Amino acid sequence: MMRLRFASVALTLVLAGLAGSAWAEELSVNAWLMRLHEASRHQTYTGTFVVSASGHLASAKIWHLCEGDLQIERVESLSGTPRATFRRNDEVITFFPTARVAVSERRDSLGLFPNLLKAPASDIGAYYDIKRLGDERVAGLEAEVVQLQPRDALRYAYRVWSDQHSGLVVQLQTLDADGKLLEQAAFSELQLNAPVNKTKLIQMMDATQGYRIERREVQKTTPELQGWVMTKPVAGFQSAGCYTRPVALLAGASGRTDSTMQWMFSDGLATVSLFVEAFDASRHVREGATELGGATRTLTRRLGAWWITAVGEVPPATLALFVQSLGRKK
Amino acid sequence: MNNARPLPLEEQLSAFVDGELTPEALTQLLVELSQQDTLREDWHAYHVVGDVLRSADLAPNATEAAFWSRLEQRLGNEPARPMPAPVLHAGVRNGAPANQRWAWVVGAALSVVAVTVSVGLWQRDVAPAGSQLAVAVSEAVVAAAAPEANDVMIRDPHLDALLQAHQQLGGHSAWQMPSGFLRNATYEEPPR
Repeated sequence: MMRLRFASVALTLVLAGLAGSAWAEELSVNAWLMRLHEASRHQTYTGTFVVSASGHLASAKIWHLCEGDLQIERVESLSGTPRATFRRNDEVITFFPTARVAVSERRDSLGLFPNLLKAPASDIGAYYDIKRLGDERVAGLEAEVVQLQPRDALRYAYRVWSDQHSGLVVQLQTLDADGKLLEQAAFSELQLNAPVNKTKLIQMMDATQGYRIERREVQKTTPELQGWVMTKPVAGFQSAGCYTRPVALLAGASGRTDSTMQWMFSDGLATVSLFVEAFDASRHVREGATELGGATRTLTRRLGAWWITAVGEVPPATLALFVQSLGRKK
Repeated sequence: MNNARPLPLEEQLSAFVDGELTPEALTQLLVELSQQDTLREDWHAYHVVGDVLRSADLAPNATEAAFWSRLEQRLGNEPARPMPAPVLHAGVRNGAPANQRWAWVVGAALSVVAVTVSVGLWQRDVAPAGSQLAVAVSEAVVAAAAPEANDVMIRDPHLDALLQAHQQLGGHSAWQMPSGFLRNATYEEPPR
C-alpha cells in the first residue's frame, strides 16, 4: 500500500516536472491536463464549491478524501433542494432527505479520461491552443491561470485556475466565442490536507435505511448494434461509448419501459450525448433548442420513427451538426 | 370502443370514471374538460361524492382549492408566449398514463362504487402540468440558438432526465475531476 502510494506520488512529481519544463518551450495541452488529473487523485481537502450560470448561483460544502486507490467524496448542497451526494470511486449515491429517495448510480466513465489522453487519435492540442495568463489568488491559494482557446467555432473556451503546488483545479470558467462568461465553477474556500473522517463518510454513504433506492443503470451497447452511424464525424469529437437505459427510470413515474440509446462523444474537454428514442407524438411535440442557461445546450429533432435529443457543453451549431450527421445504418 | 363519439359528454365522463374509455376518446374528453366549466364541475362533484362516502379525510380541502384557483388565475394573467394553448396541451399529454392508472385503480380497488379515485390522485395529475407551466411562463430568457431552430422555453421533466443522464456519463472530459463532478452535484437547474 505504502509502496503504491509512494510510486503514485513519484509519478505525480515526474508529471509535474514534465509539465513545469514544458512551460519553458511549448506548453503541451495533454501533459498539462494530465498533471491536473493526477492532482485531483492525490488530494484530501474540504471546501465550499460555488457554481454560477446565467445569473443563478448554487453552492455546496465538499469533503474529499484520498487514500491509496480509494477516493471518497461528500457534497452537501447549501442551495436549492436539500440533497447530499456521496462518491466512493465510481459508485455514486445522492440522498434527497425530503422525498426520502436515494438515487444510486455507477459512473464507469469517471476513470476514462486518462485513457482518452493516451488514445493515439486523441490530440486535444489540435483543437485548442493553450496560453498561460499569469497568477492569481483564489480560495486562499496561489493559482496559475491558463486559457484553452478553441481553434474552431465548434467548442467553447475554458479558463482554468490551478493551485501552483498541487495542481488542483480551484476555478473553471466556460466562455463563448466572444469571451462572454457562460458558466463558472470555483472553490470559494478550500483547505488542502484537512482532516476528513473516512469511517464516518462511509457510514453516512451506506445509511440508506428509510430511503427508497432508485437505481440508474445503463447497459453497454454499440451504435452499430442499435443501427446508427455518424455519416459525417464532427471534427475533434471521438465516440466515447454507447449505452441503453430504461426511460421509466429517467422520467420517474411515467410508467414507460422503452429504452433510450445514449451515444457519447468527447473532444477531451467538451462532451456531447445523443439520445435516441422511439418517436411518441403525444410527448415529442417540440423540435429545436431549449435554452437552459449556463454552458449546457440541448437540441431536439424528429428523424422518421425516432426522436433525437442532443445535449452537450458546446455551441448550438455543434449540436446541430451532430443531429444532422446521425443516420440509420444502411 | 363503440361508446366513444355519440355518447353525451356526461356519459363519457362516467365511462372515464369506470375506466372504459379508449385513449382516443379520453383525449377528446380531456379537451372538452379543459373548455367546459360545467363538465369540470360534474367531474369534481363525482369525486367529492365518492370521497366523502369513503372517508371524511378525503373531502376536498378548501385551502388547496383556493390555491389552484389562484394559480389558474395567475397563469391566465401571464402574457401570451409562443406556445400552443398550454392548458389544453398539458392535459392531452397527461392523458394516456392517467387512463392506465384509472383502469388499474378502478379494477383493483372498488368494483361496486363507480367513483373511485381520490381528489389526491386527480391533483397529482394536475400538479406536474401546473408546475411545468409555471416554469414555462417564468422562463423568459432565450439567448443563442441553433440555426433555423425554433426556440421554446418549456421545461420538460423528460429533458431534465436526459440532462442528468448526460452528466452521469460525463467522465470523458478532463474537467470531470474534480470540477465537473462537483459542478453537477452542486448545480441544480433554476427553481421552478
